[in-house]
Amino acid sequence: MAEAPVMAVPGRARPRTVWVEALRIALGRPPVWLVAWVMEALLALAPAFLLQAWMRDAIAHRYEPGSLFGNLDSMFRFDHRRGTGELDAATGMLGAVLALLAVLVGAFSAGGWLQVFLERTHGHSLQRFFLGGARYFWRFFRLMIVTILALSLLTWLVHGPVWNTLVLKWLSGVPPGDFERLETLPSERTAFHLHGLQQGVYALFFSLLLVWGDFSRTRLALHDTSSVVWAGLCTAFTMLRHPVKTLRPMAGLLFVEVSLIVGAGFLARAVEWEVGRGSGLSGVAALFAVGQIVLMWRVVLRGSRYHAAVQVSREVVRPIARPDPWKTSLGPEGGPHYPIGGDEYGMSL
Amino acid sequence: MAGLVLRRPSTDRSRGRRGSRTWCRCAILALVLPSAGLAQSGEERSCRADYRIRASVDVPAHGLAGEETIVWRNDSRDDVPDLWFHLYWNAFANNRSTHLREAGYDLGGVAENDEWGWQRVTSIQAGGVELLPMLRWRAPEDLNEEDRTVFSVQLPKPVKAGESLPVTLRWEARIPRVRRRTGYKGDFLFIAQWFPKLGVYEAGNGWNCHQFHASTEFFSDYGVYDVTLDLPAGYEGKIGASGVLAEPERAVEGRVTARFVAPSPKDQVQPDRTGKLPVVHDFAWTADPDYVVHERTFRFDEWAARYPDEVPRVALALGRAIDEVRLRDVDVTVLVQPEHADQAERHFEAACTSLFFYGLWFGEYPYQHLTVVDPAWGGGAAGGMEYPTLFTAGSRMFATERMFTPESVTVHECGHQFWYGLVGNNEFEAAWLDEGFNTFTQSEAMLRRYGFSQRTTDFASLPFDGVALAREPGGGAIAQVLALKSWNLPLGASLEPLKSSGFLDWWKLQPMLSFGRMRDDPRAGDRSGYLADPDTDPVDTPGWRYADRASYRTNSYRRTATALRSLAGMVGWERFLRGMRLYSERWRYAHPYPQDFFQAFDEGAKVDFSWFFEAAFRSTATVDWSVEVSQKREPRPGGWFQDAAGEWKLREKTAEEKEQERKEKQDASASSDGRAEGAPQDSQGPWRIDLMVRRKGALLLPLKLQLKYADGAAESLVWSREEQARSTWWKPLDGREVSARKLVSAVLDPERVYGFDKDMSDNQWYDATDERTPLRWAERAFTQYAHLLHWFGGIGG
Repeated sequence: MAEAPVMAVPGRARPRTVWVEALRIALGRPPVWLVAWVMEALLALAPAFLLQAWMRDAIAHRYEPGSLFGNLDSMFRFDHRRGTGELDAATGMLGAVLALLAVLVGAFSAGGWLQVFLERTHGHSLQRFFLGGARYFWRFFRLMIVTILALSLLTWLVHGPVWNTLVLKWLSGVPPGDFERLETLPSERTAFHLHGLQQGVYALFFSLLLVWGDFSRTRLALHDTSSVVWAGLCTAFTMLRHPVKTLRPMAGLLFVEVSLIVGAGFLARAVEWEVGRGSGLSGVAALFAVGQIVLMWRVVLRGSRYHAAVQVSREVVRPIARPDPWKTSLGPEGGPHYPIGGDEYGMSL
Repeated sequence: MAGLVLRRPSTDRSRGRRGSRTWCRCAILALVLPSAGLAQSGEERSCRADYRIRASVDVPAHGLAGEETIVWRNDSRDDVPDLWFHLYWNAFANNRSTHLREAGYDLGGVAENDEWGWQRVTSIQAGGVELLPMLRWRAPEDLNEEDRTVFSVQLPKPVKAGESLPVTLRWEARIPRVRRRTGYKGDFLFIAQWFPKLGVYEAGNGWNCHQFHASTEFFSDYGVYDVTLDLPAGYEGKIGASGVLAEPERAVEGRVTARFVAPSPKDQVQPDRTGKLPVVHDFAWTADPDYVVHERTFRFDEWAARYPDEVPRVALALGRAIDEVRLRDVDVTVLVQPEHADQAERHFEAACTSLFFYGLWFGEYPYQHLTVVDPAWGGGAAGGMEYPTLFTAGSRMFATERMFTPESVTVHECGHQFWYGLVGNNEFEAAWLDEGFNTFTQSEAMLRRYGFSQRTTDFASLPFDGVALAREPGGGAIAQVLALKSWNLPLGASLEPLKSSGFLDWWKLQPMLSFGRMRDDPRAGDRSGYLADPDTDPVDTPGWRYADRASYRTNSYRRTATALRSLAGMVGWERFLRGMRLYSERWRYAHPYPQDFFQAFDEGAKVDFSWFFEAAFRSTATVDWSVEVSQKREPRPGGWFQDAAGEWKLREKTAEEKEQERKEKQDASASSDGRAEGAPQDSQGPWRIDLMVRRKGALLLPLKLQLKYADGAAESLVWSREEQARSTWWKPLDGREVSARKLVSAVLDPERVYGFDKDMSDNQWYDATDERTPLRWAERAFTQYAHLLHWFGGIGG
């Protein structure tokens, strides 16, 4: 297959580094990332309220004020083990519902970001975000199903019988009854490395699958097609063909995210370690602020990924042959004509 | 003798052949000779057994062949016609042994054929007579004919009181894979309970020689061990054992010979501070070509300088001079696996923690040497076990010090040098006398040396400080589906889109941003462990007679530790030390039973706590106290009252009262929650306080109640055992006049003396509520979930 032609962007020089440009552009859309952040934060409020309500009841008049502020000691945890068990069950269930909602919100946000970046408009980005979210939602929902199936396959390969047979049994000589503990291996270090390798491989391919999802969604939006399977296959092929071009900007953004998290993480841990019995709520406010600022940046970084994916896709994805929508058009003679079949104008028709 | 029987009412059926007969005889004597033997000393209950052993190991074939000469001295008053021996490894010979049956036929791990182990005696000679034809298998507890862990031989003539009998045995064995404390794993050898070992002959009761049960440990007489080991040359310099190397290892023709003596020749002739000559009651050894050898010396002066208050405090409590509580220096060898080499110094430090605190409190460690063993990977079942002057710990890579790994297990097992090693209780029948005492002391020593532990969460086997506050999505079947964790399909298939996996979990949970820090008091685990199963069995139960292994662990370890902490709280630490010290010194190198402890403690502490010992150790009684408080201002008088003439008259409000009422209404409307109680005290009536303490459960312990009032006043009240026996509730403020002071707190057991209470969350009441704490922890849950849901969002887009 011939190299896909590079789609020139009229009037703009190609940015030197794709991910830096992506970050700059995404950051320049505060209404979009603020809305995306608020949606996620609102969902997260539910388990927090659940915990707060439970703890208010549990503490009530039964503990000296402030005595549990710095440390939920083992006495408290043990005496309330039944209550925490019920709280855990409720949080687990609520969390599962929220997790599913978050996945759907993610699909919606992806459409929104892509709409914003593909239209290249200035201003009105929030409207375009919601328009894009709605427009691509069902396509991305289907892609989500494909992603989940792909993740299941990955789990089966790396945390299932394939790994156990190939790596543990054949290469390492571990008998089947010892796949979990690996105690037949000669040393703990060997077991640690094997476990680490397994978990590293899983994390790597998990990340690659998410990147593949980003590019697949971008392709679906760019081509405005609806076959997620075909788009996914084509994207996989593109990623194999252009691994550096497709993965480098994502790796750059990942590096930024990791740096941000580690840096802010050290700060948060320092604050958390100082929150003690006599501390005021300022430490809690600082923890809240650090957590949410990082989350906002992560939302921006997710938007940046789509911008980077759009930039890269425009370079490496061959435009598909489409029938000329103007071939058959509708309109009065001498007046404006509208193409028949183009979905942008479907509503006006 | 009579006293002996009184002390052990539950042990008759656990005896050997002569046991039950003797039991009946002694029970009758007990009735006519009240407390005649109560002061029986340790020496009168012990015989002496010295072992000289020579053994050779064929590592590739997992074979061991040995010869031993036991010189058994009959220190009882009986003439003994037979000898009873343990062959512990036969518990691992097949899945029909009593040990394996009790363990659910499961040896653990992968049941390959080369994992079984056994012992076979090929010769027993005494006085030039071959006794092997007289060998008779014994199963005193369950009559299991397939159990081969105990045998006896009839002697040509009885061993008279005070006589010694040399017996020579030859045996061969197949070394089991390490599944229960002993065996091999690759080149790693941990060899314990490995030679035919005599039971304990107890005057009047016969041989105490129990089968090897799944939940029991060991019991044997004190003596001296002289052991020569013959191993492949690859083990040179990497052999550790009880005692000390008596001479340098010799390597000849691909083999290495090492001779160990326990106690060391020097220790054998040097009386300890109690005036007794040190002896040991077992011998274990280990070898591994991979060992990294780390040698240091415990120095009392260094530790005394680190804890300058502790030594004078103990000396004062015991009424001794500081020099009298000084401890000897001890050479410590740590045999550690290469991947844990960086933890060798931590093992040493933890061992020193035990040598210092246990030694200071309960009497010094009298031997010149101590060996700490870190078992090989896959040999973890050998870990966490104690033998004289040697013990196995256990660790993992990347263990941080705040996790208390390996410190916790090292302190515990080293602590067994005192409880088990020096005070040699019967671990079959009263394991709690060492496990529980040691668990208690371990927590106390850990607290003093290390403080609180830090809870961690593992990601890809790497520990991370802190824990998640809210549970992750998932749990029930539906939640698992929604959280994309597990989708069950027809025909038994399932999909697992999101598998928990180290690095991924780290990224998902963002622990650096969202985890909360949690610390644990090492003593708290004793209480929670006990309350996990508080009333299945009494503590004082033979090891194999507990309902299950969980009950064994709960009672032998945790409930005992909880009871001792309560005891210390009730009598005071100094008095407690005196009681424990007397017990540990009186029964050093001897075999105490529970009643011996009760008696020695009372005597040393100068108390009579027999009621407590019965309740805590010989009943399953539990307790749950709670306090409830309701207080409100007494209303102003209103309604109809009789005057002096007997006429009923409606009481009119005074002008002052009307003004007051108006002010109160204003205050109430100004306060959003309508709490008029916050108004100045002199503007309203006095406080009526209803306070009730309740008790559930039959355990009666004197209970302190501490009250604090708004004006800073405080008072302490005690709900005595006698009062508790009469009623399950107590209203200490009933009958009192209404109070001008508002109660701000009511706390039961304010010094936290009792860990027995099943639920301490209702043991205190505070007038003020705490709004900040729920907010503080909700923030952690919020941040955790915000990042978690962001991660889930990435799957959708």
